[in-house]
Amino acid sequence: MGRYVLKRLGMILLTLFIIISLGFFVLRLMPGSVYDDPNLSPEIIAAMEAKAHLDEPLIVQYFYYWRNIIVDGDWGVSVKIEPSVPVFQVLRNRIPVTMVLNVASLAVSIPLGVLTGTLAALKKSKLPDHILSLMVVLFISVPSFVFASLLQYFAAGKLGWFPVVFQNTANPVLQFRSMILPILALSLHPIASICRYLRGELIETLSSEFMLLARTKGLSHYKAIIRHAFRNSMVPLANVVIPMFTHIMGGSLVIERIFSIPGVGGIMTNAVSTNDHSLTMAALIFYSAISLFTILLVDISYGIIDPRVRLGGKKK
Amino acid sequence: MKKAISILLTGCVLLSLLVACSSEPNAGGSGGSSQPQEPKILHAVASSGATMANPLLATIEADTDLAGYITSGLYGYIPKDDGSGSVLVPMFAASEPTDVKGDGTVWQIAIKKDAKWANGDPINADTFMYSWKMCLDPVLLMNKASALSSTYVTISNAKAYYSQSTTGTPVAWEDVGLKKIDDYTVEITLAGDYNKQEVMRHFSIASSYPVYEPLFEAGMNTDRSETTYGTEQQQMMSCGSFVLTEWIKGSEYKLERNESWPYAELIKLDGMTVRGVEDKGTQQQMFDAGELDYVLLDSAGVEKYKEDPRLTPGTSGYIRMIDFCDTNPNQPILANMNFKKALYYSIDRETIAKLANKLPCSWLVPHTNIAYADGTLFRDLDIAKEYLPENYGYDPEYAKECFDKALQETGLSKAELSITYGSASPDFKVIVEFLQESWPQIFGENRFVLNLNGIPNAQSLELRKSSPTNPEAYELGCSDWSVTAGKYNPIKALEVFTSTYSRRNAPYHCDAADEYFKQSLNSEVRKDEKKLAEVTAAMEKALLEEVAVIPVLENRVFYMFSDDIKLVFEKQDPSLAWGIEFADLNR
Repeated sequence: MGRYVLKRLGMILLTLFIIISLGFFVLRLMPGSVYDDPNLSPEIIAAMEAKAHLDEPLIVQYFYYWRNIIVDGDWGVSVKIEPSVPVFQVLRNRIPVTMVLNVASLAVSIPLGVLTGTLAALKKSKLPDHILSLMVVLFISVPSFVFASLLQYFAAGKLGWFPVVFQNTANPVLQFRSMILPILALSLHPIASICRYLRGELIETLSSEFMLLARTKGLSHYKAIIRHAFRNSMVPLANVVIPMFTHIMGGSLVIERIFSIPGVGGIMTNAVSTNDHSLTMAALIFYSAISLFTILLVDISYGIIDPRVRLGGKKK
Repeated sequence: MKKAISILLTGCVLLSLLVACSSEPNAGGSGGSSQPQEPKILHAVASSGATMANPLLATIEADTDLAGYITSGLYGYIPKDDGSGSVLVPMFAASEPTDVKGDGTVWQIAIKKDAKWANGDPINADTFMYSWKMCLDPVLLMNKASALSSTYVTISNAKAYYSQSTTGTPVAWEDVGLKKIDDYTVEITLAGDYNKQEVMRHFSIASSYPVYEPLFEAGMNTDRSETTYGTEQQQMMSCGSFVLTEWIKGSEYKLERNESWPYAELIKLDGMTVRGVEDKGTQQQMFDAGELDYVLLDSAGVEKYKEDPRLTPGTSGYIRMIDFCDTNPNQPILANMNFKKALYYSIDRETIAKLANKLPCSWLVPHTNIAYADGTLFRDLDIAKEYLPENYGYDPEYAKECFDKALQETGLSKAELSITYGSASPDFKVIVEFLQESWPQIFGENRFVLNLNGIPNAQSLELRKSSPTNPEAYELGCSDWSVTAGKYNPIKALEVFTSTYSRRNAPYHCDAADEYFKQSLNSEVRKDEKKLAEVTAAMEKALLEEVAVIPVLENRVFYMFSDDIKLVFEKQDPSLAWGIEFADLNR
């Protein structure tokens, strides 16, 4: 297992290198100048471009980029979004609130998704199942930002139950209240996904022969479900839940904008649209690393949850 | 199952308890309920969270607003006593500048002996000399270097100093026309003769603002190519009308009145809170919920509030226009004068303006530009009105006549053109979609076709800038301009259309306009505001007659102010806008 993980980590680094290189060239080839302020004189633009090596051939710029990283540990500074601030410091300042939003969303989605999926499976073809199926269709089809806008308009704007935007305040209760709507908006899709997936898996598991054996052995209906059915159904669920983190991070971009949460989400789009290359690269690396590591976690989780995978690996 | 349901119900009860407890009082005034006495804190919003407070680096609006609230320069604008406008006064300067030689080339400015930072440290000649040196530093390359070097005046050798890394010609700091005479006097040597107003205006802009040396140096990296001054609250020192007391970067900042500011008695507010909220719909919701004291509306908001008496229009100085790439070899009709006139006179600007909630515009100098030192707007002068066509230039019959002549002269039976525009701009979308329908109706459905080419704004700008070397880059294009220096010198707003302007965005050309602009540089004209206004009017007239470019809309913005806010101006001031920092609150 250890060797497998090390090998995968090596592949991740290689993949990141390819992503960084491709991203570098694509961004530099995009139309538009980094320094496009009409109030800047051509002389200062020329001097700024020379300082950032933007007047050099692309391959030379690529060399300078890696040299700065390897020799000085310098990933560059933001030019437009937060001028003069090192790019990873920009991200570091924003990551905590994005992480809180995403982790809280997952923390809400997983139990609610499991609960609703279980209920739907147990009450298959009955009224609760139909209601939950309708909910699943709605939450999966309608984008999260639509729910976010509706929640903001009704729950915050009209009813005044919650603040309209995120409150970055020392009052923890107020801060928590201002996070409820964005967490809810971000959680609806994952809840529906988990519910749908678990319902399908549980229904199949509940009708399998080992469940009949478990009941025959004398286990109660609920004990049989918890000890046997869940365990078997959770194996493929890990494949859904862990990558969901990456999916939620992508969705949180719009939610952060609607609720004015100063997170990482807006950085990527703002950096791309303002030609802030260094910051775009940093955001790209961040999101890529998260995605790659979640895929690794999924693979490792298979071995942990399903002993057949571990045993199969050992036999080889 | 029952256990699960009871857990769920308990959770719901807890949630509702949390919702019910610790509510914050409404900040804005649209609720109107009576409140106990509290500090007068104005709640405002910006389109993004401020991330930079260094006045020498701040470029986006949220950052320049923050830098403007917490920093001041030698000169600045304050409201007149009667609120009819604003006046340019000494801030940290002790008096108006003195013309040392009598010819307008060398000026001395005395600094107030009690000028100080918010922490009590003195502001003196050393402060300004250090700040200007850092602004023009050829290694730091501050965004405001070119503005400090030359906006309303040109400082001797300043440009040569900051651009020496690319020119290769070394220039010593001692050769730059900025000198310390004594602890409270600085001397400015200019590359030309200027009047007192021009000098005062130049040293009222952000590029001339002071920076706090200890923190500026503390934030400097090892090769002195970057500084983190102004990137965090603890790396910033205030000296403006407000002091920065709290700053959550990218999100919100809080200000408190600065008692040591020279005009502190004019500030009625105890403080301000400014939130960064990108989404316009969210901003409007916050205003409706009473969390903001004023808000800038988007088109949807204007539609929603159009009957509301609190809706207040203002201008922002941008002219939306259509330009031509008349060197395009595939479309020789673009170079035809009758065709250009046909396009100019066929645009129903009033209808487009209604659709876009903007002002119809058949001119090139916006309403925000001031012609005279007493605040008279250029657009209010009779000489600036007499050559403007009636009906905002809409004459479809004359347009069709010109179009017929153009087809005849070029030997074409039909014109099919494409118009390139930045797809992120809603105004451009309104303009081009309207023209795509209306032009064929005027010129003939089978004689004129307009294809739309919406692309990202940066790409659109790039295409138009490349037209000198790539004449096929585009055919018709949409653009807009707002030149900072034009605010107090309207002819600067027209400089962008001269053939010698280095940063022009399209191949504009008008020989007569070039001549008039050359005339305006003559110091006899430049220093006489009436003569300058006449030359500006003549230049604008020439550009319109030659159809160098086609103006369509002037940007108009709409604000909603709560009932609690008491503004110092009745209408938008060209220098201070609504003077929010000087406003008062009724609560």
